[in-house]
Amino acid sequence: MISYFFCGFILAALLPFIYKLGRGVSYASVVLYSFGLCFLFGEQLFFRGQLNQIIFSYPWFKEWGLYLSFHQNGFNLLFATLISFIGTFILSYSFSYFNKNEEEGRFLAVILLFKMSMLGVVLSNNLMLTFIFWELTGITSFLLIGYSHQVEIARENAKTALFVTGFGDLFFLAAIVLFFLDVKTLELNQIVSLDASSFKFFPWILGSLLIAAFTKSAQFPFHFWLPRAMVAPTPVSAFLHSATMVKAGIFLVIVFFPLIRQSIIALDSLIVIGSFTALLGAFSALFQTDLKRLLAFTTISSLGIIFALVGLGSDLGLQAGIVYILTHALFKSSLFMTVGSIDHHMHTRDLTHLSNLRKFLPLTSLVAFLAAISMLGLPPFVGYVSKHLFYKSAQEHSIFSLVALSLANLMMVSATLKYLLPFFKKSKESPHNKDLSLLLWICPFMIGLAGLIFGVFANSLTEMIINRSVLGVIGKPHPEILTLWHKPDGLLALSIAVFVLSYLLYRWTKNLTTKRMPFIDKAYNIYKRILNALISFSGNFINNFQDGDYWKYIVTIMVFTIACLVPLVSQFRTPLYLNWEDVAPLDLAALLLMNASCLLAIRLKSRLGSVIASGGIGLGVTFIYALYGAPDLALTQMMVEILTLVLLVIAIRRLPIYRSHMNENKKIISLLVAGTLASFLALITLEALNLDVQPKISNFFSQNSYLMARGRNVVNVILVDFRGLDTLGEITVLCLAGLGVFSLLKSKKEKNELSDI
Amino acid sequence: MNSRIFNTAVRIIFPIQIVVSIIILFRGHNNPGGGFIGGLILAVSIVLKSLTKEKGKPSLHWNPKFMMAFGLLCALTAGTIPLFIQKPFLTGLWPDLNILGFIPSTVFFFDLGVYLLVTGMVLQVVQALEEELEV
Repeated sequence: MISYFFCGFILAALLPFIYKLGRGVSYASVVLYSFGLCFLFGEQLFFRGQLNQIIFSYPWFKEWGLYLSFHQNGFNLLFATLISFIGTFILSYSFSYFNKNEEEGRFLAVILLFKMSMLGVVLSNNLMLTFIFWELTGITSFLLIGYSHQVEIARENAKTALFVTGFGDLFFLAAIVLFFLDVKTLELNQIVSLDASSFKFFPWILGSLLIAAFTKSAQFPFHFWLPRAMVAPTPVSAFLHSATMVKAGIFLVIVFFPLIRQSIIALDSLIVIGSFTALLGAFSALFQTDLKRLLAFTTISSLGIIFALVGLGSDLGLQAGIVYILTHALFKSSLFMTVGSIDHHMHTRDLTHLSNLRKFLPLTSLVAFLAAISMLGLPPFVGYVSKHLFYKSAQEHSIFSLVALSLANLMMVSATLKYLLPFFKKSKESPHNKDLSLLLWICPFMIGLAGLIFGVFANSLTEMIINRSVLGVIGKPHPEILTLWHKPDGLLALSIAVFVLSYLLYRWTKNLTTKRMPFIDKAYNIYKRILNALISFSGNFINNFQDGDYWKYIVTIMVFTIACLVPLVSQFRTPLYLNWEDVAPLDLAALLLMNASCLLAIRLKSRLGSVIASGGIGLGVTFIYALYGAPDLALTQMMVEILTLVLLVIAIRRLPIYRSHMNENKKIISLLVAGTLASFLALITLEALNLDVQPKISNFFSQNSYLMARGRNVVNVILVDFRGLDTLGEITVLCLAGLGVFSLLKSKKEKNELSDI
Repeated sequence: MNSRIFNTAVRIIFPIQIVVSIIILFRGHNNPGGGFIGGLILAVSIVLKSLTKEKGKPSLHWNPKFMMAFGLLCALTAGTIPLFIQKPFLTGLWPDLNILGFIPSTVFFFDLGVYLLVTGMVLQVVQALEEELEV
């Protein structure tokens, strides 16, 4: 199964090339592959869903407890099946949704990569691995939100999503580090079975995990990125922002549920933040006229409800949360897809401009009803099962959560009714059937149908799946048997009352628009202000410390070096002197050459003269290398000298011939700083002569160079064999430096060209 | 640069430099030399050659960025090959093959990568500077 899973990444890499073969071929390959995944995970869920097992483990950094390990249990298999099931239909839907264009190959590759990384998040058993996939989902979703990268607002909103979720990811990383410090393992199945008392940093870990989950799942105060992410193409919104990525935060919380339930504060903050977000999201949804944004706000609200349900801390709350995840993923992705179809056929998705869709798009309307009924929570859909369960678990916990969740649900039902408005509104235009594209309605239909099937077979199929999921999380079966038909009780009365009230609310609010919405985008404005403050702070910081005066840079570097050397030099106790008998006449000649060049370089008025004179210093060094038997070094030094000279000559042609005069103060400071550094270096060199160095390493190299590495040139053998990894790192740096110089000069040039116009 | 002495000198030196740089690359494992020095020599020769040309003409038919990328790929590949026979990354492998005293080992290809990368990097910098200054 794991090898089939990894094939997805290879397929994603190949897709842009497959796309060149043909649009149909590439879509067929992705859809078939996704369907295979769905089948595979579904089969595992059916036949081995009750087990909790590691399916693959390969030592990665064994010393650090890092394994490439994947596991499966009822819960993550449910997630995996859901992701691949919805993904299959979204991908087929995209075939009709997009017109043929150049970016499509890239789109397919990225969305498949996203899907694979999402599956990676749910399946991996090592937290470091989870984190890598988790980051990948963030990056791929950034690329998908910014799909229309020619549009500025798309780029802007993609960045917002990336920054906000990326901010949370840092907390996830912090949590992982703390886990490792505490229990020295990152294997998920071991961590979740631990007791709170075995952690020293327990509150910190939980806090970081919750922030990570809240940002990823768009909870207050990080909720603002989700409605903005709606600039993405609709298939992307249907997949990422309803069914999968925004559920990753919830996934995280549920996976760590056994740990989280041991802390009352964590549970309470889940309830408070969750309910507040649920209310805020549903309330904002009432004001939306853009169908997609309306759905986005209800998504925020639903996510809040799930967090609150998990925060109840009871087994029943967990069960209600998992059922809600299943339900929500099914109805919301199909609702999003119907909005996409409306947009595709009617070229608008503003409900004030849309009317009589029932006649224009009969099949799409059918699908929309199918999904919306599940969202409204009416029998015989799975939404009904879910709603009953969530009232019951909230009632069990406290009156506060029951009221908050009922209120959120009330407003969400009104928003759903508002969503259905354009299907019924009469229009003067004579309707004709525009619903021609098969895939555009059959794909959401299949997903909506799944909602019906899960509802009708609530006490067999859904019961089994949910039972296994709960088993996978807490290790015991769920407390409440699922069923579609209940005995009439207080909750049913509540349910009906909420429904009636929400209809009244809908009558009252159906004409609201975003203009009347209070406190729009407060959170976003604060985020913007923080971001701008950061940018201007770092801009000022850099401007103050790097003002372009190279003299200042050099002096700063030298003074810093001197400061670092002071502790070292102050330790020298032995009287340092140079034994003149060791100095050969040729050494003296080289020294003379270097000193003379130095003086010349300083005194000469012409730049070219100075540069050539400083080349003389290099030549002296080369000479010394050659004298002491380091031909390799000598050759390299010589080449570097020549190149530097050539580069400087190229540059100097553009500068005035004579140097500008440095003022006296600067001259004195330069002399002092350079003199101090030079004398420090001289002292260190003298001290080094007195040291009795044990040449173990160099002995090893010279003895084994020929025997082990078949080379007589020890320097080269060290470079390419003994220390090959160092060289590889160095040449990578060289490569990057070259590209850096290129892009720096290039960007400067472009800026100049722009300012010329 | 428009100096006849310089131009004539470069015309004679250029082929010699290239031959020398290749020799230095090959002899590197047993005698002074190697990919780094060889690459520098090659780069110097090409830079000198480019100084004799008129402005606006490309001094090299190869793209320096391509040379860098190819060099890095070459070195990486040479390092990766040992992994396939269960040896650590970057282990030197010496095949039983001797072409006129030259053994095509993975170490040589690693060095070749260094050679290409160094040349490419220097040329990239020089080219970028030249372009920048000609504006």
